[in-house]
Amino acid sequence: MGAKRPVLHRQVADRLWFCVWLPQLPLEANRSSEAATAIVEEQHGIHRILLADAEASAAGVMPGQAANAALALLPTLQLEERSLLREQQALEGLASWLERFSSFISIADHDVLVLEIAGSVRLFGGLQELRQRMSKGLRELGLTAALAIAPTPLAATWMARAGRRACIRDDTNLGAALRKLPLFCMDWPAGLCEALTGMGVTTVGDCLRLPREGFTRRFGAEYLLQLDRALGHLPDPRNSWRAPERFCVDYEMTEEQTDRKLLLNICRELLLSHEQFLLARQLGTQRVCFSFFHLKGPATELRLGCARAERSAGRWLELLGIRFEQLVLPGPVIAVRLRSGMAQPLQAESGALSFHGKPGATAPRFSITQLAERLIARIGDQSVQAASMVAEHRPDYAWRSQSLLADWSGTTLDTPEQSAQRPLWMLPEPALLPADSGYPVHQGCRLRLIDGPERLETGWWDEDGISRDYYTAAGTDGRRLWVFRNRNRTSSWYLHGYFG
Amino acid sequence: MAGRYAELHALSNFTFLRGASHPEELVKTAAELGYEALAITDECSMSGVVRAHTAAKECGLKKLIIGSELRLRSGRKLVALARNKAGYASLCRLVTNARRAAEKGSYELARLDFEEGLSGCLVLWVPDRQLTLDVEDHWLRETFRDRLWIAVELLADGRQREQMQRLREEGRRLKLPLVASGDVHMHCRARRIVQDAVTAIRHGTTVDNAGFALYPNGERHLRPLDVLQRVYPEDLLAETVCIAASIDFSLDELRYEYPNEVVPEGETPATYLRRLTEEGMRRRWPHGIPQKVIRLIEHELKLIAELRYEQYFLTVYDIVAYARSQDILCQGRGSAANSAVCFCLGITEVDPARMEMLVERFISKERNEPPDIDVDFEHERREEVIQYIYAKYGRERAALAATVITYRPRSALRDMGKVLGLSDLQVGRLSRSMQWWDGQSVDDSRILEAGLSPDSPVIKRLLYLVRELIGFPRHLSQHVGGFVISDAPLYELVPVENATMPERTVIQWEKNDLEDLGLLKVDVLGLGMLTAIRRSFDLIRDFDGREYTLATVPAEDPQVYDMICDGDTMGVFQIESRAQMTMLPRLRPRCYYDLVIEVAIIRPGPIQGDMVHPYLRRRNGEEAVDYPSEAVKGVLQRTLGVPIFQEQVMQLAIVAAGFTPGEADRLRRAMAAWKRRGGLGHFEDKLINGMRERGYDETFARQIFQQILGFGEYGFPESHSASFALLVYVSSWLKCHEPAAFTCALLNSQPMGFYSASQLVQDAQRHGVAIQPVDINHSGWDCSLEADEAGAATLRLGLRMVKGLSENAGQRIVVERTGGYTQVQALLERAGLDRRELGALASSGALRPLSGDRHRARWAVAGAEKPMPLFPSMARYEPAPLLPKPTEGQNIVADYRSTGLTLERHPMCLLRRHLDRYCYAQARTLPVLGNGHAVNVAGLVITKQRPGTASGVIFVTLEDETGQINLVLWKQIAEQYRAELLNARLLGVAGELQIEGQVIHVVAQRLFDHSNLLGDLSVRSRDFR
Amino acid sequence: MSSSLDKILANPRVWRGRDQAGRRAGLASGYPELDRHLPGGGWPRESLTEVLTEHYGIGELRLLMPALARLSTETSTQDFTEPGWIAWVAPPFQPYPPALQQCGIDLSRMLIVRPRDDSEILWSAEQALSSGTCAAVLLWPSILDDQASRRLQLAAEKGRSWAIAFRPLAARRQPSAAALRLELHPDGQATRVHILKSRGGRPAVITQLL
Repeated sequence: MGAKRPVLHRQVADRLWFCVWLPQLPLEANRSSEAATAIVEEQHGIHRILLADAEASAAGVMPGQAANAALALLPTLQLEERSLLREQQALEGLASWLERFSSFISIADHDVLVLEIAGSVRLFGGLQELRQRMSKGLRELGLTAALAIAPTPLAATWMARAGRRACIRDDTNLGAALRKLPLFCMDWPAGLCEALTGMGVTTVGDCLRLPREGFTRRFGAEYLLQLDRALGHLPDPRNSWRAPERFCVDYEMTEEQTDRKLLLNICRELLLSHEQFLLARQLGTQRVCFSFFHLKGPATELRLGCARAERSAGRWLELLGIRFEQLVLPGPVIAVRLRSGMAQPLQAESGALSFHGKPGATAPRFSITQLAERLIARIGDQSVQAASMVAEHRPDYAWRSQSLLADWSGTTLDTPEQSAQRPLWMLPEPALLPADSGYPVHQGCRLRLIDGPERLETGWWDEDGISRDYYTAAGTDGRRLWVFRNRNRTSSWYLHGYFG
Repeated sequence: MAGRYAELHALSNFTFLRGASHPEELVKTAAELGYEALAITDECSMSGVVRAHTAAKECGLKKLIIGSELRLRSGRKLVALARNKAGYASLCRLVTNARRAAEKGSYELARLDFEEGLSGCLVLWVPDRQLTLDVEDHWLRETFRDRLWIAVELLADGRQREQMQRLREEGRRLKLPLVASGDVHMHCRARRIVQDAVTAIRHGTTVDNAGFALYPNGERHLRPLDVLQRVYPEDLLAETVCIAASIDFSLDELRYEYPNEVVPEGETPATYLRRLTEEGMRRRWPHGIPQKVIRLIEHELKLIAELRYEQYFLTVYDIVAYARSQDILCQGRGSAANSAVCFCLGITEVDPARMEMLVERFISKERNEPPDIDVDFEHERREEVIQYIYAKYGRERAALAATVITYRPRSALRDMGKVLGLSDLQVGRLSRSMQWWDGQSVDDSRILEAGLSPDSPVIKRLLYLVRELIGFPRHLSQHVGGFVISDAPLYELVPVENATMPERTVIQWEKNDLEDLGLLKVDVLGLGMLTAIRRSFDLIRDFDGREYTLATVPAEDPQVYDMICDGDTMGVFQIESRAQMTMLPRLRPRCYYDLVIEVAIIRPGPIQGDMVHPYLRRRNGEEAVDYPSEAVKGVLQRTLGVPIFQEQVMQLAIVAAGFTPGEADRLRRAMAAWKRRGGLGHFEDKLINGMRERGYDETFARQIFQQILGFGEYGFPESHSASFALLVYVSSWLKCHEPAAFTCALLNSQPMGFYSASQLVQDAQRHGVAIQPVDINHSGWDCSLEADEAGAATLRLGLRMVKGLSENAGQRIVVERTGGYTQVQALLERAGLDRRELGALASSGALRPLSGDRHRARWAVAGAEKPMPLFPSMARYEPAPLLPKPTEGQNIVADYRSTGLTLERHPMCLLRRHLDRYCYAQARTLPVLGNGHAVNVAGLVITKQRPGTASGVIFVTLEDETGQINLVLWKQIAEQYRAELLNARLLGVAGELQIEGQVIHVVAQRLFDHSNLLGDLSVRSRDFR
Repeated sequence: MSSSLDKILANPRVWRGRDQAGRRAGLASGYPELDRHLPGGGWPRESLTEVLTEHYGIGELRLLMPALARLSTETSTQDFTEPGWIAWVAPPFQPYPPALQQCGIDLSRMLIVRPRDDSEILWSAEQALSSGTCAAVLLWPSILDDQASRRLQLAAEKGRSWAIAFRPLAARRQPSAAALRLELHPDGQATRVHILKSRGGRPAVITQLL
């Protein structure tokens, strides 16, 4: 490129960048079966093929095709919706696996990782060896990768994208190697590439040959800077990637123990160091799991959960206390491990569940969440429930129960059109009633139908459609019952609830 | 004894996505159940009433009541029933006001709208679920006084007892009578499933999430009398019958008055029509009117007078006269359009002397069908005509007919899939299997292929619902151009509502409804070919001053027919499709009437009815023509015994099977609809029995019936064909004698017709027209004619060909061009173009005179900058970049991308040497190879067609540097090579040559996708330095 | 903690003294006829109420609904706390949300607890009562001895909550620390309410209440 070259920042010679480009990542991260698969993405309301596997490609499925066209070619084609989240997770998984090769890993793009390897080359017995080990590992992880090595991260990335198995160790060859690369390897915006191609500019070298000032005026300075960074004329600092953290610590004993008080104390110690860990990071967690290891047999596990992120050892200890009493240990314990869930930021206690009193008012001792946590700790998650309404005509579907600890807010639907009076008590399932000359009989006495019918014919869209006439019935024992008769099957009577 | 009952509140599926039964179903069921009356009360709509009216007559319903359910802004729900004609008019007016006040598809009603009190209507007040009548009760009683009832709708919701008690109290309190009604949404209980599903569609949710938007049960159907007797107290049922008895109105009472202003003061319609006709005669036959014509016209005028159609003809005349005054080309067609009177009025240009027309073929007293005149206008100027009609008659008196958009298999599947909770992808997969939908079910294997189980309950439910939903009306749209014009305000006849297009209004009835009630309409249609023809005439006039009109183009020119017989008809009206082109050499049209037949015969109807080949054989003298009777001969003689036109089928039914003209007309309309609705069964018996009784052979009778079936909805009337044939002739004449002007006009009228600009330009080049490229200093916005050194016309491509350039920008370039442009910067400053527009010009090659090749032009354009106000035009010095010259291949690709065509060599020329090893033959060489010869060909894929008529066969057209190649792919080959077929842009084919006369096909056996070679075209060569 | 609690319970005077000092207005039942017979003109808050019935389905819940509806929706005028929760401990059937909603109960403040045995029932009820977040705790214990009833009474006072225990008619003879004991009897079309014991009030019979 012309004469006005920026001051030369000479790249430190012992920097060497290894690029891993995953061209098939969308396919490999999102596929769910062995069958011919293509990944689709929605564009303007149409699903289009983003990437197709070998089998699908052989049948003529191509990127950019509408999903329907692809199906016309290959009716058995599996279509998977692209999930950037899954790709990100796969990329992070790979990053954490690559940590064995380098202490400096950077996520350069949604499908590109770069590793600084100058230091590790010797450790792995040379570049060739390193490269082979990496290729092998990637194959085992089921990832298709293009690898390239160059003195700058951008150069390595461009080489990899261009499919050059390049290994350029010093700056002197860098310029020549880069010049040959096609335009697309720079992954510049489509509009820019199109504009350049339209001027006959098709390689990195062609770009470098353009007048610098004219280039900047037409396309902006950013791309010129990229060229300079790739060539090592400008520094190119990168962010290092760090694995998310979890806490896991073991307490090993010299001999087997059965003293539960001692074990509880050990747990407390572990929770205290857990608290320290979280405190240092200003984080909390919602899940804590204790494992009690025995010499024989599998470890006994005890899991605790909180409605929101928590780090206080005292709080966790309180929950542990409720559960620990009932914990059955099949044998003596040799070690205790505490693992915590994903560390996450602490939230302020949410308004709805907390107490906002005037000064001087008596504060409740517990919030509802705390009460629920205590109850759950003692009698189990399934036994403490909240209820909410569902807009449905079928009595059995008109409500749902849910755990109190789930992210929950009671939904009350307006029921303006609501029907006749419903009974306060509901049977878990309708109970068959004997009949006497067409009238239902309950506990030996014939019922009088005092109101109805309320006809419910609905729910045909699943396997549980109903067609029933509901009546309010009165027994001679003073009870009021909610009974129904099926319209199109037998004329048997069923009891469904009591007006409590 | 079962009691008596009249249902006063019933919604059909014209209350879109609420009602779940067709009006016909409701009427039929009500009649079967023995109801005293049924009221169709669609929500703020009259769209379904004509169908109900027709059905009621057919099935003998005792009384049909017309009404409408109306919801006020306050939430109050009323049902208004028209008691007499005045009541009907006031209700239509109310509905019109409510609809016009809101967006399309909704309405808006407030108390104020009822100021006139809906006189002539009875009103039911439908209480809400709280059963209260509070703030508005006083208003309601004041407004409707003794015409107001409280509707009691007992629908087994468990609160009947409470409801009855409450309403009795309210009734006593307000001194209002109570009446039973059913809030009917469907004709039978089983429809509740469909009702739930459409409710979910309406709410944009799935059925299992629709919750209380759904009704709890299916009681909202037409219940049998004994059930009603158990549910309602006797007095409430009796009241329904009383109300029904007090209603005395039928749609038959509606009368239609033609607009009066088409007749000048001091004249009657008859005298004025005669005067205009006579003026026209003198104009058409300046050298003396033939006796035959005078007799014909006298005959027609008499017929028109008897049927009192004068004003209709005058109305059409007025519209056509306006178009003519604005220099808008038009041409009438339809049953009455080809009369001699219409020729004199200038409604058609088809000279009756030219084709031995008998007006009775088109208007008949006995058939009692309204005359039908459609007028085609230049498609780009039709809007002017429409606005003229609105301006002349006002929006109160002129409106477009509606078209009811109904559910088709695909749309039904999409909506039903959604409400059953299927994902978009699943629905997409399934909708592919809809190709195999036969109206009842889908082949299981197709569902399996879509990755779903045909036995799964969801799929079963889905298919059931789709089957039910197909044919349901979905919304009203506007008819393409069917105008209703009346003397009195239209809204007293039928409600008028807003269309999607701003400034358009539509009535709530569609074409068929108008026909059923015997109302007249004028179709104002747009036709691209008229635009092209008018432009050709203008171009010729501006080039050398010769003037042509539709009527003055020299008639019956043998050279023109020679060209048509050769199938050399690309760009010509109607006969340019591949099917038409291959038929022309066999049909060999030599006169005008041959063209009339040609237009009608190559259509799905006659092809399916297998009429083409018998006609060809008879025409070529290979088969004798015999007629079973003189009567049949009279009908079929002009088409050699083969029924080709719709009119012939009807006449056959009359003369051979004893149909009355009215029955024949019903047969015609049933024919148009039987594919969708069925119902030709009783016509079959009547036709075949009728013919047998008259001594015709049963085989002949069955054959005629099969032909009727084949006609289906495609049956083409001779009256339309005759008008189209004129445009066929005129466009052929232009193509034959003025190819430069004709191609130029076609290019300026794009998009239209079958062929791309590229094909049209190549065709013109083959006919010796020189084409000049787009040039910033020479092109206008439109393509234009330039004279070459010899004074011959050459075609200059216009700026309109440049993709990405707006007409506005193009016009500015032309206006500011004085002195020509020498610099890119000048375009920016003088013509005010922006970068994007400049880029489009650079890509098209139009800047060649300014910057040189495309690469340099694009660099220059990218660097152009808006001038600073104080330093205009300060040329900036820039070092010239090192840019390679574009290769020929790159130029070709860029040409195609920017203008859709290239004037360079055909891309195949460049690729030929890469393809040589496949031994591909050129298109030009095919005729000399013999029939049955094995051949390899290759070319760009131009068109792919799967004709509806041929079983799975696919037609593909390839293009190489010497011409076009027509491929035939049988179904099995198409399946085997579907990837190639779908993806290839450059296709190689191994196959067998089929030559029949001048028709050449390659029957493909193997396909090869060479598209990658096209990619190589734009890759630069490495030796540019 | 439990040992000190036992000590307190061993001395009945402790709660009697508190009771007299802290007597409060009752919670209107929604049935004026009943309110007239209740000291404070309504249900005794912050104490234990026992409802005795032969079987379910005779109006035992309807009796409580107006009061519970108010508790679940009304912000306290005294201390501006949010409405309290209503806990159902070991109900014999499913309390049916649509019906509760028709009665005006705010479902988002309802908690249903299904302990596995009697000790858990009492423990849960005690926790809920003393937590201070529940405005009312309904429980269906299979047994409820005198001591347990005292513990519930104490927990209700501590958490300022209303405990309602549903028991069979046979429990009539057992001693109980409940502030109010009612019996429900079907009576033709209606239901009859017997007030067996009412601290600060008198026994009474109210016919045709429901």
